[in-house]
Amino acid sequence: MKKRKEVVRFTNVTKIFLPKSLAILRAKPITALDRVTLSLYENQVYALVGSSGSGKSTLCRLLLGLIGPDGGGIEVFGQSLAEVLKQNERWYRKQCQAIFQDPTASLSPRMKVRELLEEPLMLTEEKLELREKEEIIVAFLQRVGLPENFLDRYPHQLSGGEAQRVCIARALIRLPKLLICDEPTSKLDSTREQEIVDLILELKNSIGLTVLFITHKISLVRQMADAIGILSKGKLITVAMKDLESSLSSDHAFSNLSGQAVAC
Amino acid sequence: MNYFIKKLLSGILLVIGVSVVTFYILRLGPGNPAAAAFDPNSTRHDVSQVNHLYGLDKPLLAQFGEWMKNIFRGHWGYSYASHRKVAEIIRETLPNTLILTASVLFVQVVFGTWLGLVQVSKTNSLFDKSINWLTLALYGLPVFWLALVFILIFSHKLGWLPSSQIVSFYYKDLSWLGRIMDRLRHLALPLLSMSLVSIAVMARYVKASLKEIMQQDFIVAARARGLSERRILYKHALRNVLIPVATLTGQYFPALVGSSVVIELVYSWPGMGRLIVLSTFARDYPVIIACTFVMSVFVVMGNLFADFLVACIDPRIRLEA
Repeated sequence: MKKRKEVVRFTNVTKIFLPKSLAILRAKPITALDRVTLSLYENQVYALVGSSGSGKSTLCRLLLGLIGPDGGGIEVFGQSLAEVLKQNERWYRKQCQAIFQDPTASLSPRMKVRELLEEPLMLTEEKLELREKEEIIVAFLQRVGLPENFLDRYPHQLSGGEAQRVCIARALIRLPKLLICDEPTSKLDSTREQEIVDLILELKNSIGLTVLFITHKISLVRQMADAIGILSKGKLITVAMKDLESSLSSDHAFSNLSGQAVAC
Repeated sequence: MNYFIKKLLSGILLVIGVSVVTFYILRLGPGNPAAAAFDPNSTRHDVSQVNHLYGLDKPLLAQFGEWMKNIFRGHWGYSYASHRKVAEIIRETLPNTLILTASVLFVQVVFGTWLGLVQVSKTNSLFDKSINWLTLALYGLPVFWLALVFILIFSHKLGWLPSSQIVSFYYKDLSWLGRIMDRLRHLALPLLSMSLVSIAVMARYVKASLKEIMQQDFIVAARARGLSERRILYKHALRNVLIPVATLTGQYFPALVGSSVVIELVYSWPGMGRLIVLSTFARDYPVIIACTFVMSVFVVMGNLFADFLVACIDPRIRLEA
């Protein structure tokens, strides 16, 4: 059996936040991630589950290079993330894209869909003609199931599902290899949620994406995940798909997660 | 459209309200124009004759009704002090006040926004901290005190800039370029006195708004996509900060008109603010009421313009409107 290529590797990654009021209130530093080790393989959907404040978004920000770790190492595509960001940030930003939980808030309110989709194309090395840009934008808009007339709409004129589709189109327009989805369906109703999940799975299969899918919902994990990580108080426990049900019923890490956070 | 009609109607009500209040407050004060016009030896008969001439012996409501009727007919009456037409006096002084306030607004928006923007782009730098302290200090300074200090330094000690009037007495002998320069030199100190505090207000406001915007999801998303900090700041954040800037400008306009009264007096700037003060001392009712009326119209128009600007900048408001 052919061994799959490792896309992301976290080795004993620790992230500590110091409260700003440390001196006054003598507050203790918060360990958001505690020696987290995980691997994401090519064309895999890795579901990361955990209650609020468990460190999911911190892990996501670390992988995006928006913050740095306080301990351990992160490797992406076989190279140290810190080195990649230092030497070839442009390349990494092309390979790794993200979609966030509030689609409307993650779109600039004063930009039309056309501008929002055009902007990532300006970051590409190759100079594109205006007509070429337009063709690419329309193609990606249609790829996420939105008609061409949406190009002249502002974010507030889109529903939550439509806005999330625009976010996905914007993330995919530069043809990334790694997609980070930080609770992308948490603000959507169940119908729209299913549409977005189907779309991500379809794109994963058609363009060979590696997906880090952060969620609260076990139903989505069952539907999408090839591998599962459970984050609880900054510690990560990797669970195999076949062990998910037993983990759910046992006193394992899931039991530490609040009932409302892990909805089935 | 309904939005603007509502705003316009509330503006008209405000102007009428201001006129009513000014009209009655003036009559509540001690003394009257006739008494102010004569020397202390004048008889009661003389005073009552003048009162009759000006219509001041009529009931207050009748006086106000007549004044309102005349305002809409274009008859603004005569000044008790100079016996000139009030409309003529307003026509002379209004442009001077507009030049001053418009210049202050322009300088405030441009420099205040720029300062706030640079502060955010250099957060926690020495520049940021220095500007923070400077704007905080300016924020608390009274405008009239600044005006007096500037006169002392730039006019009396250094002799660089004139301390009063709008043009020099030899203005007519100057070339067109010389005339422009002369006007600018006279504008410099009043503008500096009024705009320093305004710039400080705007810079602090822009900085606070920008810092809030820079924490929003679409900025985090832009960073994650690899956009440069410069592009994020100028293309994404600045566009969104223009909305609170336009709102603040509209809200700040009445305060600006208010401070122009003090500045015009200190610098002998022949504008409406100075005219109001001098007319108040002379109990020149027609001029005071006309000036207040015109100023309140401009305040309402300024606010309407700010609302219009916000609607132009923000597509969410534009579509709702």
